[in-house]
Amino acid sequence: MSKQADLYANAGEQFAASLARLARAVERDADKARDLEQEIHAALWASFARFEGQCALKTWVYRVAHNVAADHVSKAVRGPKRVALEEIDELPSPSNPERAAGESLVLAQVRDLIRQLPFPDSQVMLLWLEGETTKAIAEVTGLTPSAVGVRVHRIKALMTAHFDTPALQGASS
Amino acid sequence: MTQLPIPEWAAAVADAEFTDPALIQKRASKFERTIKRRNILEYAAGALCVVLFGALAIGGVMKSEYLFAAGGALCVVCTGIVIWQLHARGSYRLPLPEESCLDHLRSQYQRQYDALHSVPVWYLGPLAVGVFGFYALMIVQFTQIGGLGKALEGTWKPIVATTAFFIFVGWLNRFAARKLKDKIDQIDALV
Repeated sequence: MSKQADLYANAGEQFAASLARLARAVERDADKARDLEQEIHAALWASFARFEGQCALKTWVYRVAHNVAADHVSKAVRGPKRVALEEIDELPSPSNPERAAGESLVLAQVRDLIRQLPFPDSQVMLLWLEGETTKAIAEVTGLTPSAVGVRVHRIKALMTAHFDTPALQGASS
Repeated sequence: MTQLPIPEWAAAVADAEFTDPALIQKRASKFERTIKRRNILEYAAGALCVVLFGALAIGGVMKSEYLFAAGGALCVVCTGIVIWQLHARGSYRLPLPEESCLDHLRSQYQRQYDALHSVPVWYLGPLAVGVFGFYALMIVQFTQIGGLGKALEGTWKPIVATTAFFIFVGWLNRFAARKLKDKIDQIDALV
């Protein structure tokens, strides 16, 4: 197996689910989300030809995935009005009640919030949801750790105000 | 990786897998396809202009209307310059998605800003030279037939409309470029 194929297989084992969640969070339409997921896979495959251990595999994978997703969102002709984290006081109501009932209210609200956030706030939130640390999020996004910390604090405050989830207290420190 | 903050999140699509590499290699990336489609459209539009003005130039030569022919030829040359510029600018390196998210976002905005900001120079400029050169030659031609007054009477409206169109397109591009500059400044403020 070539080094490129090896890296791709390794990344697939570790991050396939995370990247599928990323695609479904940024793209509401299921078919387009699947298309975006494959686009991320294709970008990762191509990028592994250039991977020489410049950073951790996880950082590389998340950077490629989030950048491809950001390009996808930027190309959309119409999208929701973006609102920065510091201006949001409560989670949005799920925009599609039927879908929300089917997939859980929590997921529907979280995804709707992600789609409302501008870059890099949405990227910070997605990485935080995957359980990444402030340092890891800073490496992927390019924000300073303190800037990430401010955003994570704000996200946690938003989440704890709405969900009774004990894990929120200790995550991403 | 630390404790997951929302368990429902991690439970979603837990069985996902990467696409088979064999399938990935067969399919051109969406980005490449988009660029190819855009280039084909732009080249087709350019080719249409070249054919139309080229026919005008050839027709002018055949009927010994050399000013018409010169006007058509000028437009062909200027359209050729624009097509060449599109080709040269479209072949810039593809963005590297493994940059940090902020670097990637900034470089994407910067590329768009550079392209929009310089539209008057590389796009509108050559087109304006071709179109207004054509008008000028028409005025000379009509002046020889019916005098300057008659020539201006028949051409001033299209000249004003074309000028307004060029100014509007230039302003629109500068406006869009300014919006992008604001976004670039916002990103710079974050690091």
